[in-house]
Order: sequence, then C-alpha cells, then structure tokens
Amino acid sequence: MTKEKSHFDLLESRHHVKEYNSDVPPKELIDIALYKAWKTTPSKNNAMPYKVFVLGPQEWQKKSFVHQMVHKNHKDAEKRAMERGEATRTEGGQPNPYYEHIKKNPYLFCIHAQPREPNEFYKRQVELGMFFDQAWPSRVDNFIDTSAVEVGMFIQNLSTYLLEKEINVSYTSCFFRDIKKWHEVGLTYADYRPIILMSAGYKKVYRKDVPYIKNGLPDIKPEFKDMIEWI
Amino acid sequence: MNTLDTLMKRKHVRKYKDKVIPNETINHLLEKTWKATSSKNNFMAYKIHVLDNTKEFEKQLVWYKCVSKQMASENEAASKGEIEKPQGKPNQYYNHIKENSHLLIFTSRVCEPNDFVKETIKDGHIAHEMYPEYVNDIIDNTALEVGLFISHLTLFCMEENIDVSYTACFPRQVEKWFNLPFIEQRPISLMSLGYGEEYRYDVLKKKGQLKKDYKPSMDTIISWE
Repeated sequence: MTKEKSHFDLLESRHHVKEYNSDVPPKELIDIALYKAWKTTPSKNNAMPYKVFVLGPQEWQKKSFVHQMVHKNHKDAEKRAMERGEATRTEGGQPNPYYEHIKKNPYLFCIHAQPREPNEFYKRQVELGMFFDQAWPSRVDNFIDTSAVEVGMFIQNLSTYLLEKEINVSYTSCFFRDIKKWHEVGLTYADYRPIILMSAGYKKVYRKDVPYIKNGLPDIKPEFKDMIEWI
Repeated sequence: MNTLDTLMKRKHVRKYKDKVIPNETINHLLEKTWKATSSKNNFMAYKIHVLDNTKEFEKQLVWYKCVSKQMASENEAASKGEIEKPQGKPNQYYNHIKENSHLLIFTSRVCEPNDFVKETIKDGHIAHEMYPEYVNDIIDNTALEVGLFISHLTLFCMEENIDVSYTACFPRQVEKWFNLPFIEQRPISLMSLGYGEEYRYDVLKKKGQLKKDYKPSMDTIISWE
C-alpha cells in the first residue's frame, strides 16, 4: 500500500457513529491528538479565533444538557418550517437517534467562537494600520464564516490523528447558535456562539450499519461534476 | 511520512514558481478529496470554481477584490476608531491569489436532496440547504464543511509536494463579484496551488520576526471541563 493510499483509506474509513462502546480511550491519546491538531492547523493572522471545550468521561450531565440544545433546536427548526409552509408535518418530536453520540460518548468537543488578541507581530501591524478583526467581540458574527472554515480544518486534522489511533469520531451541527440558550441550562463555560460538536470513542454501531439505513434508499453524495466547475 | 510530518511541511507561499501543475493532477486531487470528505445529510452545500494557469485576468480580478476588501476594512476600522490610520497599501501576502498554477474559489451551493433525504423530508425533516434564502443562515455550517474539504485537499497536495495557500479577506456579497459571473452564491474561501519559490516563513525569518508571530498557546485554545 502506498503512503498516498494509506491517508486516503484512513480518511475514507470514517463513518458516523450511532453508538460508542463502553471502552474509554486513554486521555493521553486525546491530548496528543489535540496537540497535533493545534500544531498543524493554520489560522489567519495566527489568531485561532475559537476555543475547544473538552467534556471528558465523567461529564455525563453536561453532555446531556448539550444534547438538549441539539434536540430542542431540531424540534424548533421543524416547527418553524411548518409555520413557513416549507414542511407539511414534523417528525413528531422524536429525538433523532443519530444525535445520541452527543450524549453518550467518552469525549465530547464543543467548539465555540472566541475573539483573540493579536500576537507581538500583529500588534505591530495594527500600529501600522492593519485591522485585526478577530480581536473584537462585536465582530464575532462578521467573521464567523472564516472561524468556521478554520474550525473545519482543526476538527478534520483532529479526526485524522484520532483515526490513526483507531478512535472513531462523529459530528453534529444541529444546535442553538444563541449562546444565551446554553447559559440558561447551565452550560456557562463558553462566552460565544457554538460552531460544531464532535464526539470521540470506540464505535459499537455505525449509522451506515443500521438496517433502516443499510437497506433504505441510497444516501449518496452529490456528483463530483456538480461540485467542481472548471472555469 | 506520517500525517503530522506531512502537514508540518505546509507554509504560506509568498511567491510561486512558474511551473504549472497539470489539470489532470488537480482534478485527481479534487476527486480524492470529494470522496474522502463527509457532509451533513450528504448535501456538500458548496461549489469549487477552478481557475487554471490560463485564467490570469480572472485571478487579477479576484486579487483586486481581496485588496479592495482589505482597504475597505481598514478605512471602516479607522472611521470607528478601532485603528489609528489605515496602512493604505496592499498586503503582499495576497499575491498568491493572482500568481499561481491554480486558484480555487469556494462558494455556497443550493442543493437538491438525494433519494434518502427526500424520504426524510416527507416525514417532516427540514433541509435548509435546498433554499437560496437560507444560504446566509447556514453559512457557519457550510464554511465548516469547506474547512473539512480544504484540510483533506491540503494533506493530499502535501503528499505530492504541491504547495497551497489560503486567503479569507474578500467581499462576501455576491453582487461585488459581478465581473466574475460564474460566482452565483456567497464566496467562502480562496485557496491557491502551485510550487513555492518563496514562503512567508522565509521572509519573516530574514527580518528576525519569526518568533513574534506565534499561535495562541495550546492551553488558550483547549479547555478541559
């Protein structure tokens, strides 16, 4: 197997986890993967305008509250769609089974936006007239897409390092963006809007292996030609 | 080479060599990346516009948009008292946008659901990716997925010793891209590819500024609760 294939095969082997088994990956492995992701993920102006909150194996109560943020948002989105005529019914308030990984996992990474002060190099650039928007809390919503691209790069790198150690990962992006709703249920560790939730552990069941999914209609990606346009 | 060593090779390019990457190589890398990258509900609600080495004029227009955005941001910040006065000159590290082998422009994309998602919609599922009016509402998730794609593509490029650089300073409003009519939805990221001749790292090193341009420490970014 060539080294090129090994990276590709590793990345293509990732699947969404429906249920993790009860084994807990050693914290040292998680720390090393986080270090490598921090080390190798680039950031505009070296700002890294986000913060990764790690909920470990004992934090089941906080994970349950995070799951509430996901489930309630899902219900609200369906209700709003009904009101706007975009849907004719809701899923009836049933919790999405593929959000279970948020509640039951050894490790949950909650990644939120976070303004950052410039480093020494950029402090000098600011004196010379550069605008360092990542330092301004009032601008968090303005630069959220840049932060989100960078968070995407961070979680992908983190996923790769965890997959190398045969630790599985899953993501969820369905949750309330309003940080006040998180504070209301006691999740007060973050000050700014969430960007992504990612869980890690050893898989018991993949989503793709659930009979309803495995035997159902094809759940495929868009065609390559629909994604890429040569100008 | 392991993933860490492969990714540690990446440095922002100040200037690319004239050497051109074959279009077939770029297409192969993009196809591998497409296969390896996951997406919520398999929508992949973004599109990648590829400009090869023959598209100099279009790249010049994109570069001009980056510089205009930089100037506009500085002028606005100065008017609000957030900086004392604007720099008033183009950022030299945007040059990779106009001089490269290939430039990728990532934009949002309005999608059709696949057969599986169509069934879930009948059961009450709502998919915002299908509606142009929600492009801005879901931009954080679309941008995050673009980050996943870029991260994979970077890894595959590094394996082939192809350098890449990114720029996030450009106007987000589609109407400001009127002279590049293939841009139909909100732009999300710019990424150039080529073979590096000079890196930003080397410029800072020569000037003795490398140690001042550090990341936030790891314990600033990661917090165990």
